[in-house]
Amino acid sequence: MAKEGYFALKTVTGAGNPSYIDMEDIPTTYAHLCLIGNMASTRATVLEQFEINFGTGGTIDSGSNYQWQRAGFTNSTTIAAYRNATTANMYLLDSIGTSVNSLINPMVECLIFGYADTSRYTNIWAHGGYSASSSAYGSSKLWSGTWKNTAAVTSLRVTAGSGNFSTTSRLTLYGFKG
Amino acid sequence: MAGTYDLLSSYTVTSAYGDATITLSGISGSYDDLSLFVEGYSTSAGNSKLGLNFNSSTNTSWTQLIWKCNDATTFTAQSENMYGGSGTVSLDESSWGNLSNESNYWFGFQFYINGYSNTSMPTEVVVNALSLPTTSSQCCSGFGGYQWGETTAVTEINLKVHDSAAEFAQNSTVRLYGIKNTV
Repeated sequence: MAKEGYFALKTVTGAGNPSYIDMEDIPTTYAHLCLIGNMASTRATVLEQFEINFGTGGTIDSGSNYQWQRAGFTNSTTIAAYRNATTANMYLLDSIGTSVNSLINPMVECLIFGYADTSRYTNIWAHGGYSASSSAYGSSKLWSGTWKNTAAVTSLRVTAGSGNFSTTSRLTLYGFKG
Repeated sequence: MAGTYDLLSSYTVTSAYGDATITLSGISGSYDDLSLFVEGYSTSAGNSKLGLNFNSSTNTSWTQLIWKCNDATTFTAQSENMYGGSGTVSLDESSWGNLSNESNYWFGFQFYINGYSNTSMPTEVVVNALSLPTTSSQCCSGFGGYQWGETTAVTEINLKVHDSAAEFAQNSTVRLYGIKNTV
């Protein structure tokens, strides 16, 4: 007998221009999560990164307990790859910068695998980017990463680099029934 | 979204020795598409790959194009059995590697299986995957597309881990969701 399996859990916007967006009290009754959003920074600077952290028990982990890998291109047609094995967050998406365009929100889809399974670490797989009006600006990347902690994820934080979120930013978290 | 995305099957490897193959059978044809999540780690420290096939078919019907990042900072685009392409032709399954052998660092796959019960056209598969253990030779993340060039409705999904007598390690999990696109 089929069971419903995909649920919208939370939606958060950038109203008030916070420097980070938190999603708290995430239920641990799902097998996987999916974070889908469009977001922009209030910073003029091109090429800052949105970052993601996980937390448990009401505390966001900002220690060097993450690793991530990315491949893709930004503002060029040359594809490059990079890996950071020990870092304090995971890159999630490139910011376009208001100096390029303040009306375009980069988009991201991020799968969060096995976030409630305490027998192993939590993985993410994300892809996203943007295309600006000028051929000089565009981003399309794949990110994958690991939070090296076996605790169940009950909260997450997305940070707008060194800036704040635009008020048009919007993130929705979905749960896949397990 | 509720009611359009149903959990059809869930399986966890219970054997301490692992499972060489995982088969999901009796798949309902009443959905438009399927979404398949596969997680776990390989019992082998070799360069394991995850293989996907349908209906236990032995025909050489698979075409694949994978865009992936291996090791630390290198990426490759790999095509097999592509029109006008080179490399291995006539694949009897699609595959992906490398896979983690570390019990804390699981690989994660999501396969989106499009039009699996439409018998007037082949079945296309989009794959998103990652494997990021501490051993760089087992790292691999990226995405790709497969095409199963048969027009038979998919009623069975076959998964296995290749190379070095590898198997799905204990606690590896598979979940299959059915998706209705009709609004």
